[in-house]
Amino acid sequence: MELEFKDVSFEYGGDANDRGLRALDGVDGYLRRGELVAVLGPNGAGKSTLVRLLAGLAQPLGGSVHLAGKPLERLGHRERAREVALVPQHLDRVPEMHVGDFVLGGRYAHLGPWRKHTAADHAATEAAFRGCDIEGLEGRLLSTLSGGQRQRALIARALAQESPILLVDEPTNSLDPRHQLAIFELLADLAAADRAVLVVTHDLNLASQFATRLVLMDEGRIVAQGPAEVVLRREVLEPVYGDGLTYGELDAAGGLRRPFVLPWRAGQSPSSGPRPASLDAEF
Amino acid sequence: MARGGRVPWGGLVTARKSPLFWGVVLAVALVLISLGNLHLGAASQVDLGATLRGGLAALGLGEPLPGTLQTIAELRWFRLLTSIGVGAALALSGGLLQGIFRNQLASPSIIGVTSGASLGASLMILFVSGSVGGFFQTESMAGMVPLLVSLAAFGGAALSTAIVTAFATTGGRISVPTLLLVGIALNAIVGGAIAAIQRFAVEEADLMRALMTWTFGRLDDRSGFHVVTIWVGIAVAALVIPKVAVELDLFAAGEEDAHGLGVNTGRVKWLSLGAAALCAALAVSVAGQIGFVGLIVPHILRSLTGTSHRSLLWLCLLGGPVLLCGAELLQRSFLGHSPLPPGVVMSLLGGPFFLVLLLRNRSSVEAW
Repeated sequence: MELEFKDVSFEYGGDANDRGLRALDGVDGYLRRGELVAVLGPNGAGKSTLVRLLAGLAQPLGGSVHLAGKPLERLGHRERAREVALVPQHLDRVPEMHVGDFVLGGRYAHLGPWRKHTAADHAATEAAFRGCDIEGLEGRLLSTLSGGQRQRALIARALAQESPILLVDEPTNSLDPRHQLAIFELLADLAAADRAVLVVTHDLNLASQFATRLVLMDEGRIVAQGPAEVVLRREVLEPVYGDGLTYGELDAAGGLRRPFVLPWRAGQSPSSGPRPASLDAEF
Repeated sequence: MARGGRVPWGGLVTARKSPLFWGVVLAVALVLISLGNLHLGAASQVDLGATLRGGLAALGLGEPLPGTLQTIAELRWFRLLTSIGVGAALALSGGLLQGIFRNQLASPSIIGVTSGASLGASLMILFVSGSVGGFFQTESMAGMVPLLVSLAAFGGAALSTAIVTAFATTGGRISVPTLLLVGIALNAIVGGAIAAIQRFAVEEADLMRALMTWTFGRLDDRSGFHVVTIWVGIAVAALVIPKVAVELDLFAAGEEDAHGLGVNTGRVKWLSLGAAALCAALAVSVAGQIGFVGLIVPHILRSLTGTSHRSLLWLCLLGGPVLLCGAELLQRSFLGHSPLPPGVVMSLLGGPFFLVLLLRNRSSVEAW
């Protein structure tokens, strides 16, 4: 199963006379099984819009999205959801339901005409709970979970969906470093288990460590893609993020060296120079 | 967040008893209340036994009661069956609308269905009275009046639903917030129009009485036509329940989220809105305006069995009749046989309930 998109463009708002805000501007790409693709880029680069189009939540204004050679919009709603699962950045509202029922909601695309849950549905849900390491939370209310637990519940629901393609929008926002690592380890495991995983993230270093391919977007276009060594370089990132970054390399799993990038203005850290008088006065 | 396990929906998430339990309780209650309503009436010589015998006779199973007693027995059956149908229709309508709007304060009147029906009925009453035109003022048409008023009410309801959804739809998608706003605007316009009609009618006592009777709802003096209309409507609307119940549960986290899980959100909205409008339109067209049933019943049921629409929508079909027929029985028992119109009773019960609802859930109301 492969997701492919060609010359995709999208605009927000606007009408026949007035051009709206261009969010995507002729984007090409693909997503294959076994891959963990990290989509990077500054705010407003079009990352989330791309994910929405790939998940079938919106139709591209121009260009096409194909799933296994078939146009995505030709698929029925449930058929599409059996192939592509989306983990949204957040929920519009946190529904008042138990975590168990919430995750079971991921099975909707597999339900029969009478919408009865089968043993297979419950088995998939249990496996999803195990996979996301949130066993024991089934009986809790979704609203009582911590940020990390809720993010895992969202991913668990997408796992219960058992779709070969997983689109994950900024899963590590507001998570502590331990949970950030855990989420990316989980996504890497899923890719290793022959799913196709695309993750939108602002965290260049998690992408560097875990992603098999990095895609850098800016102003609605893809400006660079490839392994971390290719994308996380000064000459690639500086035109996009500016010059406030520090670059280096660290050992990663498997004895590999991987690049890292920090939002750190070299030579200008507060500890290295005299503190401004106003700051001293404040403390 | 609401406190102590109370949820913004106003119910307890953990159902204290299973939906099946409450289904049985409501069914038993409805049977008892129905028997009470069949027993009580202005003609005290027709008791429960006589009404049951009269009912069987009407079906061709036994001797009819002597003289007018048979008619009285049949009227009591029509009254009961209409009340059950109207209660079920209003409650189901409310349950569906609260599901799509993801808002426990939604009810059939909010999308303009009720006011559209009122306007249609008021206009028809005005025409048949002869105040305007006068072309229905013939002997042969007199028997048609209830049918014509019901048809006009249904036409008004259908038209207002069509107008509201047309305004709220862009590119085949219904915007729920726009729907609410258009509903408010339409309610204002219709309110003005009905006031204007009443201004015409104010000099004519008979006409005014006809308008008022309809405005406050009416469950007695119904016919087989009313019973068949509302029951067929309920049956059609109930067909929608299995197609939207699970889906409305998934709507709880937002429409786009449901879409991502594979829910055909457009179809769910059209089916739910259509069924809700049909129920409300038919209820108003056979019994006039009866508010608050659609608001209160789903709300109470949610607090009893939890928020899942899979049980909620079916239980509405029992809860609505229990409330409407129960109120009818109570006031017949305590206020005698020239009781207040059902619309008035429901407003007097429903208004305070609505305020309590707002008070208890102020935190979630502010969060809209």
